[in-house]
Parts: sequence; structure tokens; C-alpha cells
Amino acid sequence: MITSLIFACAMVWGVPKITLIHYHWTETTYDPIIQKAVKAFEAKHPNVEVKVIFLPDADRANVIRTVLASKGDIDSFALSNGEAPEFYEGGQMLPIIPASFGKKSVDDVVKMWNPGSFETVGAARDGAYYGVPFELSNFVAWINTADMKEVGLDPKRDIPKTWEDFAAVAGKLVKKQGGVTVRNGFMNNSKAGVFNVIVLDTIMEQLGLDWSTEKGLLASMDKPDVLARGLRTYTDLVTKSKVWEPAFADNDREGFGNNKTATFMTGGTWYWGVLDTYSVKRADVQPFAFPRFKDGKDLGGVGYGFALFVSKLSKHPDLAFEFLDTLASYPNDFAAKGLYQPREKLSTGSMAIDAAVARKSIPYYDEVFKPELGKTSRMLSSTKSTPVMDAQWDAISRVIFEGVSVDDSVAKMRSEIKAIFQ
Amino acid sequence: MKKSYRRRRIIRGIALNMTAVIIGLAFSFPFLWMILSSLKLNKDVLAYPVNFLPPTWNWQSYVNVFTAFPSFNFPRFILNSVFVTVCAILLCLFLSATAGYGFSKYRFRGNALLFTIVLSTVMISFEAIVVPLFIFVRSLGMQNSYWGLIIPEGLSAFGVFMMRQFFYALPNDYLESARMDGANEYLIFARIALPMARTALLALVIFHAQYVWNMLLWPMILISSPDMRVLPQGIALFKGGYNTPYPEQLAACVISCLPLVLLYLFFSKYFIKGVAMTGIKG
Amino acid sequence: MRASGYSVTALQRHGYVFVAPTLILFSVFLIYPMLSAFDLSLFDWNLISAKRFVGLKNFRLMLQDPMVVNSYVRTLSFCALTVIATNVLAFVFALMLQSNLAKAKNFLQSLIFLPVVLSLVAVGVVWELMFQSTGLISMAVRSIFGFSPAWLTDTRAAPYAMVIIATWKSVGFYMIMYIAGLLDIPETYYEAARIDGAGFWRQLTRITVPSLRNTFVLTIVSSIIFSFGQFAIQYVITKGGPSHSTEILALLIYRQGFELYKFGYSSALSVLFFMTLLVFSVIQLKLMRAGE
Repeated sequence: MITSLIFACAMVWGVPKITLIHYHWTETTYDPIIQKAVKAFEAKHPNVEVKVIFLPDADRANVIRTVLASKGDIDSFALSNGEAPEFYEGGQMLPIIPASFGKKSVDDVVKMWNPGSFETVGAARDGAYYGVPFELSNFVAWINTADMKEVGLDPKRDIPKTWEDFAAVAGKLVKKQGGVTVRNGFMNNSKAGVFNVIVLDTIMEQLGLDWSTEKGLLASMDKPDVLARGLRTYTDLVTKSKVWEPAFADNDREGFGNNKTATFMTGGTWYWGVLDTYSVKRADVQPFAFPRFKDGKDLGGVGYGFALFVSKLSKHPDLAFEFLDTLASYPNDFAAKGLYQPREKLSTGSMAIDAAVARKSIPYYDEVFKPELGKTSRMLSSTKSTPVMDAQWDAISRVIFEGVSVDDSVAKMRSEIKAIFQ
Repeated sequence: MKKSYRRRRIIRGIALNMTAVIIGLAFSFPFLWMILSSLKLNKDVLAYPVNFLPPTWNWQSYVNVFTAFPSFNFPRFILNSVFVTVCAILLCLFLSATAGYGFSKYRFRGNALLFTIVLSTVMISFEAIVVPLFIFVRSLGMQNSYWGLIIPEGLSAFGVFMMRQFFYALPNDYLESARMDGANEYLIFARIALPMARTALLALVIFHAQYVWNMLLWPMILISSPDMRVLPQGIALFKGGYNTPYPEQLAACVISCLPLVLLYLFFSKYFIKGVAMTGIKG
Repeated sequence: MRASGYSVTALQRHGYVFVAPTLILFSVFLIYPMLSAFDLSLFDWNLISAKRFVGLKNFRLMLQDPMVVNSYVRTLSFCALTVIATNVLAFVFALMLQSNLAKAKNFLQSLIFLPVVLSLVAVGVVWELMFQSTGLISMAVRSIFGFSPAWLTDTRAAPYAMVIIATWKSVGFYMIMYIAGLLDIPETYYEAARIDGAGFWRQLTRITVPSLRNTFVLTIVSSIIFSFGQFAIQYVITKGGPSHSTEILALLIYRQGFELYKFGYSSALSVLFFMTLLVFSVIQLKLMRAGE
């Protein structure tokens, strides 16, 4: 009894408390799972306190960047595969420490995840492994089957497979009242360019251009006809077939959930998790593969992901990696909310993601998401991805908001993107 | 008064008051809509056709703001905001009153130049100095601290300007007679000048309070630990990447607007008088 | 009789003591970062890699960048429209609410002042909804004129939507200033004018406007400075869109810094911002001195 008393005193006064600080994005459906992981980790390491700084997704990268620049207190952080390149360039992340995962080599660690997932989520660079994959999502198209039936379409047969079909089907799904659109056939986000570039990226890659690497992007700038065809396919939805009225609603995900649009293309498996907060019923929603071109490549929507990194400023990198491992050890909890984590085995050796759980909480996983995951298009991975995305969104904006012609807009985009890489 | 003149007056009165009421409603409409929407269900907030009154009343949203989100400690955010705002206002009053008094009542070398320098700080876009300011504040060890918030937010060139105007218009008689009685300058300031400036200071309070209370950019960069966050940060946290719980966010917005609205309603009489006394008359 | 030991200059030197706290804190927390920012304009820096000295490159780029030109022009026009709309409406409202015929003055003044204290993040959602094609404002305009511009997605209409919101937000503040000014005009002036047979307009132009000269100067100058630095409205509602049509200078400074991570370029833009307001202040000072 005395020894336990002394031990307790040592715990309180003697043993120094280590604090780990982790920067993450906030999502009301996932935050509780993260808290659970934190508690589990603290229970295993009583002398460690973990502070997770939740940030709005839009501000996360900025705040992390500012903290790193001022050499503040940061042990680990979450980045998307699009954000990672710049941070890699600044040498801000530490390579994986296998011992923290209870493994002998980095390869043993990598084997615990789906093959190729490290690369897709941005956790690997030049053959070296830095991050812990946290989310792997791919975008698919979604359609409201109740709306389809309302206009006389059959969800079993009439779901569009090509871009031409898509424009036609979306056209039938537009609803107007007194000359004003009250339901879009299709819509995307009219404020945030990234969601539009995501779809445009898929279109361009389907047409044979490589928009996922700097070299490929620059090479594609010498093919104005293909660029124009790709841009036109997207912008015609606003200007020609008029299935998308941007002034009606500005947010694609909320719009679909509130039936302000019959289709949208920027939802991944996680959309099932948020659907219940909206008015549209689950039974009326059906994901389907991105439309293809009759003569184009068989590629689906963009695949992206998030990874967890340990900062080079961390004073306890081994503990930090252990914490990240714990954070990424609840794939079934996340899958239940629709977030897919590509983990096959936990560090303890047991199975990670349970296919049955995934199938139950992610409807159409086997029919749509999994097959598309094998054929995703990719977003640009470059330190200049933000200015490039701006130029691509500007090209779309000019056509749909200003009425500029597609060819003129493509010409401007070409000169802007070439200038970025000079 | 002739009868037709009286009738014209009454008609004009009715027209004037009706227009004023319509204008008042138009101006307060967004606030009303915000309150009503905080009591709707999430699916009704953005629904079409647009509804003004909640089809289903959702009182739960206000409860959820305080209980449903473990990482959002709203009482703490409110406390932080109140503490920071009160301190920043006190600092602003102190600086504005002393500097305003100093610039207006004393002729010393460099008076005009120094005042111009102080005034020139309104020409700085705050977004531009956020990063250098953060790096500097961090070098002082003040990052993630209340003082790091309070000091920069307590600086108001407009406040200095306003108090200088006021003290300029204040007759020197009281001050002179106190001087002749042998009182030192600081006592004169504290015991005579300052109390006379009460109403002007109150106007400054309201003006500066809404600036500090609603400030988002600086706290977002400076504050990293969750229990030091202020209200605007808390509200911004509701906007998830995939989903935004609107009723709860709007409820938080309503709660955050209340203190300022109440402050203003309470002091509105003094506010106008205070502004008048700063000598903006002519 | 003055107490012994007091000289005139010693008295005036107390002024230094009074202004010292302000000068010290302003220098340290505002002026020093501003000079740092100006210094930063000579570098290229993205916060996570090392700084790179580039001399005046940022300024050369800035003067040729069509996006900067667009932003500058947009800012000037937004500023001009907002200042005119705000001051005209504020003056009109002040006259209305100070009229002898007005009832519930305090209450109505409070309603008009309400937007000043509301956070834009909070009411931003409401405004966005009102400007959508099925929103309140679009419906109202359509019922009167038969059609409504696409306020937030048409590059020609969006700047006006910003002016509307900016006016709504600040009219109350300037109205209070005008009311304060009106309160100080002696009633006797008006009585004398009425005895002379002067009607409403005569009284307005001969008494009210001239008496408020200083008030006008203050409100117009401060509304120009505040609307030039306006950031929140465009950031929350349109993020500078559609197609950069509402990307005012403060927003461009923010985007170049925090979205494109070009802090050197962003600092160069802030120098431009500062210089513009400096030039404006000098012009305004000269005009005021000429008027005296």
C-alpha cells in the first residue's frame, strides 16, 4: 500500500507530463471518434497528455503553416494530398518510425494499409514514407431517384453513362416555377472553385490529358482543341443545356441534400454520413459512376485523401507516431459514419476495416465506390497547385459568370498556366 | 393653426412614421431571420420554398450548442470573449483618453507630427500586418495568451482621434483654476478632465466593443489552444468540410450578438450624446 | 498665482507623458509590424521555406498584374458607391428621425444601428439567401421590374450587392453622427427662418447643411477610409467572386498571403494600399486647409 502511495506521488509530482499537440480539421460527425482515440492513447500512456486542436477545414493549412513558420508548439498535423507537396518542399515532416508501430521496418508498416494508398493520400514522397493514411475517398456522381420518377425516368435504366446522356437527363430533371429555376438538373459550388476543378480534372483526364503532374499539365497546354472540348463539356451545363442555374443555390452538397439539385458530383462515401441531416431521404439517393466520353478513357472521379504527419519540430516524434497510429486505428467507427480509411491491419495484428461494416454503412460500396476507386483520376500534385487551380477555376468562371467564349477562355488559361511555371 | 395645415401635418406625420417603420424593419430583418432560423431544423434552414417561420420549432439547437459538441466549450468561449473585450476596451479607453488629452491640451514639440503618425495607423490594412505581428508577438512569448489578444486589439487610432476632438472642445477654465490651486497635471486629468469625458468615453466603448467582439482573423492566428478560443472562432468551427449544422451555428451567432445588442440598447441615449460631445458639431 | 517651480515649457512637457503609452504601444504593435511588412515586400516567402531577397520584383509585377489593376479599380468604385449611398441615406434618416413628427425615435434609431454591432459571419448566411435567385431581394426586384439580376453570380451585379450590404451595415453609425450634429443646431435658427417664410428646402440648404459642414467632412473622410479597407463582406459572401468582380484590395492582400502563400507579394500590395490612403489624406488635408 505504501509503495502504491509512493508510486502515485511519483506519478503526480515526479514523472514529467509530456504534451502532444495535434492539428486536425473539425467535422461534427467525426470529432467524437477522435476524442475516443485520444482517451485510449492517454490511458495507455498516463504521463502523456494529448491536445487535439480542431480547426475549420478551410483554415487548417493556414494555421499549421503559421505555427510551423514561427516554430511554435506542434507535434503532428493532418494534410490532404493536395496540400502536402508544399510542406514536403519545406522539409516539415519526419519519416515514419517503424518502432512506434511495433514493427521492424518501414515496409512492414506500409503493408498494414491498402496497397497504393500511401501514394494516393500524399503520405509518400519519392519512395520514402512520411505520413499515416487517414482518409481515402473518391468522388462519384449522385442522383435523386425520386426526382427521376417524378419526371418519368426509370432509375434502373435511365442513369446516364456518357456526358451527352448526362446533359439530356439533367435537362429533364430541371424544375421551374414561373420562369424561375426551383430545382437544378445538376449543380456545383459557385463560390469555391476547387469543387469545379475536381470535375473538370476528371473530364480532362478522360480526354487523355495528364493534369496530375506538372509535366503533363504543361504538355496539355499545347492541345487547345482538347482543352476546349473538355471545358465546353462542363460549361455547357450552364450556358447551353442550362441544367445548372448558379444563382439558385451556391453549395452543391447542401443543395443535393435539400433537393435543390437532382444530381451532383462532389460526394464521396462520407456523404452518407451527412445525408441524415438533410431533407432528402436515403432511399431516394443513388450514387453512380461519373459519366464517360464515348471515345474517352475509362476514368472515374478524383481520388484524394488525408494523411497524418509528424512535424520536424516535435520533441517526441516516437510518441507522436504512436499517437497517429492510435488515431488511425478506428476504421470501423469512421466507416459507420461513411468515412473510408484504407487500413487492412492494425498494429496489434488484428483486422482493421471490417468489410461487412463498410458495406452496411456505405450503400453501393461494392457496386459503385469500390470499382471507381480502382479507376480514379488524380488532382495535380505540385507546390503550385493553388495558383494552377485558380487559373482553372477562372477559366470556368469566365465562361459561366461573364459569358466569355470557351475558346477565348482556354487561350487565357493557357497563357496563365504557362506563366505560373516559368 | 389652420385646419388644412394641421391635416397636412398629420398626413406628413403618418407618411414619415410609416416610412421610418418600414426602414427599421428592413434593417432589422436579417437579424430577425437569423433568430428564427436558429429555431428551425437543419433541413428547413436552406429549404426551398424559403420559409420565414420555422415549420417545426427546434428549441434543441440552443441546448445542443452547449452540450452536443464535446470540442466546443461555448461557456468558455463566451468567458474568453468577455474577458478579452472588457480588457481591450479598458486599454483602449486608457490610451485614447490619455493620448487625446495629451495631444489636445499641451503644446510640445512634435505634437502634430506624432499625432499624424498615430493617425496614420488607420491606413494599415490589418490583413497585411497579421503575419509580422504574429512572429513578433511570438518572439515575446505572448502567442496563445490573453495579452497577445488584448494589446493589439486595444489599439484604436479612431479612439485617440475622437478623444482629442473632445478634449480640444473642453474649456480650459476648470483646468487652469485647478493648476493655480497647485494640483499636479495627472490629478487634474484624473479628477477633473476624465469625469467630464464620461459620455464621450461611453460612445467609444460601444464603437470599440463591436470591433473587438467580432474580430476573427487575429484570434484565429494567435490562439491555438481550444480553451482560449473566442466566440467568432467558435462559430467558425461549425462550418465542417462536409456538413454545417446551421441551426446550432445560427444559435451560437444569436448568442454572440446578444451582449452587443443589449449593450447598445442600454446605452443608446448616452451613445448619441457622447458622439455629440466630441465636438463633431461644427 | 502659479505655484513656484512651474515653468511654461515644463508644463507642456507633461504632454509627452500623456501620449507616451499610446506612442509606445502603437509603435511596437502596429508601426513596427507595418514596417516589417514593407520590408517583407522585397522578398519572396511562403512561411515554410527560407526567405529570398528579390528587390523590387514584387512591385514591378504588381504594376503589370491585371488582377491588381482589377482589384484596385473595383476597390475605388466600391468605395465611391458605398460612401455616397451610406452618407446620403444616413443624412436622410437623421433628418427623418429628428423631425418633430417622428415617434419612437430611440427605438427606430436602434433598429437602424443594429447592423453595426452584428457580426457579418452571423448574418452572412441570411444575405446570401436573400440574394439568390429565389431569395427575398430577387423576388422583390422581379415583382417590381419584371426581372432580377443574378446578384451573386453575375459579374455586373455582384459589386452592387456588396455596396448594398456595406450600406446596410454602416448607415446606422453615420446616422448617429449626423443626428449628433443636428442636435447642436440651435432651434432658434429654424424659428427665425420660418418667420421669414422659408420652407423645408430653404431651411435645409441655408441652415442645416452649412452647419453640418464639419460633420460632413468627418463622416465622408472616415467612411472613405473604412470602406477602402473593407474585407469582411466580400470575404464572407462572395470570396472575391464571381470571377474576381468583388475582389477588393484588402481581400487580394489576404488571398495572396494566406491562400497563395506569397507573403512578399502580399506585402507589396499592402504598400500600395497604404500609399493610396496616404495620398488621399494629403489631398483631403489640403482641401480642408483651402476651405478655411
